[in-house]
Amino acid sequence: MTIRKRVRSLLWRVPIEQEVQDELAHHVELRIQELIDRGVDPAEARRAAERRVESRRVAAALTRIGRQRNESWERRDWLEGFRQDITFALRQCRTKPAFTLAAVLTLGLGIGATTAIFSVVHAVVLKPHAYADPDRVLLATSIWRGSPGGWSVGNFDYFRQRLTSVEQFAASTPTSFNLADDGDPERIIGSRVTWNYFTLFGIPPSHGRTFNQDEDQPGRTHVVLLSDSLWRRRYGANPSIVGAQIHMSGEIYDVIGVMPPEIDQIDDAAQAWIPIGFTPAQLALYDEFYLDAYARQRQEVSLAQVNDEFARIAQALSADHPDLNRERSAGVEQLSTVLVGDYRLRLLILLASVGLVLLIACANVANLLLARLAARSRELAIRAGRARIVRQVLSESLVLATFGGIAGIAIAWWSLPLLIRLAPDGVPRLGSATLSGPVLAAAVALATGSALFVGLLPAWQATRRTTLTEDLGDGKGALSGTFKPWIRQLLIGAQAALVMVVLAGAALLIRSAINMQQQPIGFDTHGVLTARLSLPAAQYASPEQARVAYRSVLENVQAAHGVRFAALDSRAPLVSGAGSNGLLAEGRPMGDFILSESHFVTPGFFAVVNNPLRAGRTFTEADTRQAPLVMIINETLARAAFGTENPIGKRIACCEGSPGQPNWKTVVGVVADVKSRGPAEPSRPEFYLPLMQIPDAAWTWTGRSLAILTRGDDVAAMTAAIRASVKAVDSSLPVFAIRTVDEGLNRIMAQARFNTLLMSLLAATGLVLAALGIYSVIAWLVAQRTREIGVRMALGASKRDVVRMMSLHGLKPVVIGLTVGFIGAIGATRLLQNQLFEVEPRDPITLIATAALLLVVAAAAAALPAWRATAIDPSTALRE
Amino acid sequence: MSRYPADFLHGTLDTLILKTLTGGPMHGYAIGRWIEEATNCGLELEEGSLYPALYRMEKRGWLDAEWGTSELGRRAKFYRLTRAGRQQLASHTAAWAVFSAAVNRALVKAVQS
Repeated sequence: MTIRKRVRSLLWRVPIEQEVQDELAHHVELRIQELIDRGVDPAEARRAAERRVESRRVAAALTRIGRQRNESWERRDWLEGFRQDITFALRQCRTKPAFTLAAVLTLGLGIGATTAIFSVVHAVVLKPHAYADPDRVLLATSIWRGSPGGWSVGNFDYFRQRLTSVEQFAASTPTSFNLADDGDPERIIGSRVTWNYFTLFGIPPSHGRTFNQDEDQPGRTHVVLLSDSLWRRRYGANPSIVGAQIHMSGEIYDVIGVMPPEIDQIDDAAQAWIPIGFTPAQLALYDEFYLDAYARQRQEVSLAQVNDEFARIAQALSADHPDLNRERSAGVEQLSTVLVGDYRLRLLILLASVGLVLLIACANVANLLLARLAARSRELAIRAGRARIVRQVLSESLVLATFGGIAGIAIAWWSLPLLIRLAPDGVPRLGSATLSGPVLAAAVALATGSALFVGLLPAWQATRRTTLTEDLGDGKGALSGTFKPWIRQLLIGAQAALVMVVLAGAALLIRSAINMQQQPIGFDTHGVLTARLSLPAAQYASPEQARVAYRSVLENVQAAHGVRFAALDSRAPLVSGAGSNGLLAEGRPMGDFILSESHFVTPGFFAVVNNPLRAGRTFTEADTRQAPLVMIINETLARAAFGTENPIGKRIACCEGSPGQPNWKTVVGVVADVKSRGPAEPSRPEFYLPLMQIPDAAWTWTGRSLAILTRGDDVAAMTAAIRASVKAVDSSLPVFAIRTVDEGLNRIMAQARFNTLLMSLLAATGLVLAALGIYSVIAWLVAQRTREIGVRMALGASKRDVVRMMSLHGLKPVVIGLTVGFIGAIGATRLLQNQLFEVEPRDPITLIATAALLLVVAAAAAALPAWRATAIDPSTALRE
Repeated sequence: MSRYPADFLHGTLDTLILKTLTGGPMHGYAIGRWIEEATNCGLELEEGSLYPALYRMEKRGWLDAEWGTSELGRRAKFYRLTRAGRQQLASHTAAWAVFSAAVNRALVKAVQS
């Protein structure tokens, strides 16, 4: 009540200076009158009265207080008005539950999806890394002929002795252990690291201590640090394990500490670490590039300076040891950049796509709001003032966006664990994605932004009234006068453009996934099972022991029920393991190596994988160490080594011997290429050696670890056969990584498939939303023009004419939007380049098919309500 | 009450004005005259104190003002108590009773000792 009065007094209020002046003048007037009444001379009375008021000083004080008063009133009135607007908006929501539900769900889905993806982006890309000073922690790579790789021990040591621009230079290499203490024997992945590895990352142990320099010496390395997960899983998080002893691969280790989970961000596979303890022989070895190297840059130097120094030392190394390091250089990158890798771009593309879908959702809600405001234009016309109407409309969009934001956070909360579970392995730091403070702040910002986006256009429309009388007059006139259809057509055009971009990206990814799926891998993967086995060096010290054990295992497996073929391989297809060697074809100059992947196989291998033999023969049992040394190469290697010449009978040096005394092996067969790293990776040069012909030293290279391959129809039977066969030979040996090659393929394609799935979901959501938008606009137009349609039909227009006329209202903006979206898609899909397989980002077939799909969906969405219009009975329509 | 007693005397003028207006709407001059008469000692109320006090109380929402016509037939600003003003008057009056009783007790005691 007082509010209403105040609003009125504000409306008719005089300026504060005037108010003060009038009030004081009135006061002086009365004072003079009183003085005169008491008999004072009028002139004297005026002087006395004015002196008392000291008008200038009092007036100034009053003006100041009065101004503050007005400001506080305005604030209060605004808040009060706002409160009323919100109350009104809430009432509107209650009275139109279907509208409210549609708007809130649409916004909720958009905000929820964007929030969930943002939380992933935040965890993977934006969040600071767990290790100390991420800016200064570097990954050092040794680069040979432009391709980055690992470090040899000799090279690592050469750099370690000379580097001055880094505080620490550490190395690690993955290893694995057969963990056999009180529990079941278990295969665990571990790392062998230089003593300063943990110091370099600045991650302290959660229990105990890390290694000291003395322990990083050959023969003193029997100390182990456990990962947090191993400690919890196997040792029940018991801190007293520190100081205890455990058995790994037949040797006894002292547990000196436990590393916190943060270390997973650098080395997520490792469950145990032991010191690397280079032997003098290893330190003198400049071949075999298997170490990962890390550096901590000095505070005062720049990354460019560190890179300069690495390049300088690499040059010195090339000069000192030219045989193996002639074309070798070295460089550093920030580890954080390497860890996040191309996930940064992938995730940002995903975030952008989900953002586009949110925009489409907002456009839909804006459209709904416009339709509802049109229905209320008479009520709006009565409201005074453009600012009031804008505030009223924005209040409604704010209420919708607030509910939408709440729904969105709920959706994100529910979908985030699902997203993490479905995501492929190996996305760094994904597990740490939560709805943290910054993510919630982003959700609030999204909701606010949505409110503005949804509300501003309708608000602007609502204020564009021609005259008050027009709105108050004919209801229909007001509708067409105030709310022009073009604004809604603009919205569906924009939706078409946005959805075209997202849809084109999804279509390209789907095509890539199909291409990848259809890509021949080079052999019949169906029914092939792989498993890995490692023999601990302690029990199987001599190569002969290892040979005998593997031979027994293989014989057992071959004899088992359900196994048609069985073989051993140092590197099974799609299973990581073993290394690369530099091969020298006979006749090539020294140093002209072909980097090639090695397989040490039993003769049955080619029967198991069944990849076509292109020339020559496969291995037989006769290919022993006593027989002539032989090798089988793949087509890629044959081309690289001998061009178009027939490779059979030619010789290649590898694996043994020295630069001065090459060890020649004769090529006896050429087999078809196999995509052993997955369908998307190009075939590499590969060579095969008979397992029983490899030198004794090779058992050390492979870590006495081999893959068992079987082919058969029954996976369960083969799995059981492998386990039983190994157990019969040595019950303390764990068999690990048992899986079919098809599972391996799936795992490799999981990344591509996951991205494709997400983009397809987004595109489908966008398409459905856009279709709903088009549908609602045409339905609204039909409702507007019932009378006109009735007239046309009465005058003889056919149903088809009516459908065409009405759908064109929806299709015209869609076609324009599509054209814009098409151009946008051509620009945007370039970002997908790295994720595409055998399809160009601008692939015309995909883009045109996408546009066609969009057009068909839009036409259907427009035709449906237009078709309803034909049901209008002309006589009823005209009478209305 | 928290301003007790430092700002107490300052608040006394406010209380007197609020008390004055319990009789109905009045303009500034009449309020001043009424206080002068009611205190019955020709307590000369400075305009430099009265009007700022009125404006301040209007800002706080204790008073409402409206333009009306005075007894001389001139446009004048009339002040009236609001609900908040009435509450303020009640609480200040009670506080004043406590305060003046306390001061009285102290003065009486000082004389005796």
